[in-house]
Amino acid sequence: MMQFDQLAATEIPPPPENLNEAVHQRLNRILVVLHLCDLFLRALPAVALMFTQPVLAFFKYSVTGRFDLKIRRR
Amino acid sequence: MYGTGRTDEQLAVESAREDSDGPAFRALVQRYQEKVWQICFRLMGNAEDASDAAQEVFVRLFLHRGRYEGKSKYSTWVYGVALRTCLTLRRSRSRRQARVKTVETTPEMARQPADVEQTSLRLDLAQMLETLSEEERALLILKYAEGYGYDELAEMFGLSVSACKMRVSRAREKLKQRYPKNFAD
Repeated sequence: MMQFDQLAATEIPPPPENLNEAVHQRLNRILVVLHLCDLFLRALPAVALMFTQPVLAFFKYSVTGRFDLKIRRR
Repeated sequence: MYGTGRTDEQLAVESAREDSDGPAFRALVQRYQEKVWQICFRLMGNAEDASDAAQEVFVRLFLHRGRYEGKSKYSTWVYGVALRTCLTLRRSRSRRQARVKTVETTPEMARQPADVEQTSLRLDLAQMLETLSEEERALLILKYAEGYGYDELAEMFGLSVSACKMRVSRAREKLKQRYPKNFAD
């Protein structure tokens, strides 16, 4: 006859020696992917937007000869 | 070793402030490695899947480290993450296996599960547990193999203590009904 307590009798082997290393390798791979996503989805568009504004302003100045001097006072 | 003298909860707060897997998180991995491995091995059933699950548990612990609110013991929170990870992995594994079996099953093989009573004597306890749902199986394993109390189980499964007791009792009854010859009253 079986008892549920017999479940505790299952022998558990020790954790693999490289478990710690494997965790950090997997984590590093995931962090690289997350950082790349961050770079392509957030950082690069933000930088592109930032640089587009002066470039557009430069072309506008070249074509119209006028330069907007709007100084924002806080 | 880093973290000596600090509680798990203190290290958890510290690790939430770290940008990468810093010393506090490494110390937590070191502390919980053995216990997480034990839970994963019991729930996954073999070393290869358990190793994969244990790695996944620590990755999730790192990615969700900011979600620990300190309402429960850190250890219970870790075991809860380990449990949910193993259940997810087992479900995806059984879905994969089911897809493969659908292709491979012959009419003769399909009749076998109905003939449970005849084969019951040949099954051992671990195989019997496989006939339960993933949650019921996990509940029985954590209760009887790992010796968790109902209050801890309730927190890990997100249930009330009474609901937990009821589910354990139902799962036991199911097994006793399915395999009457194997269980003493």
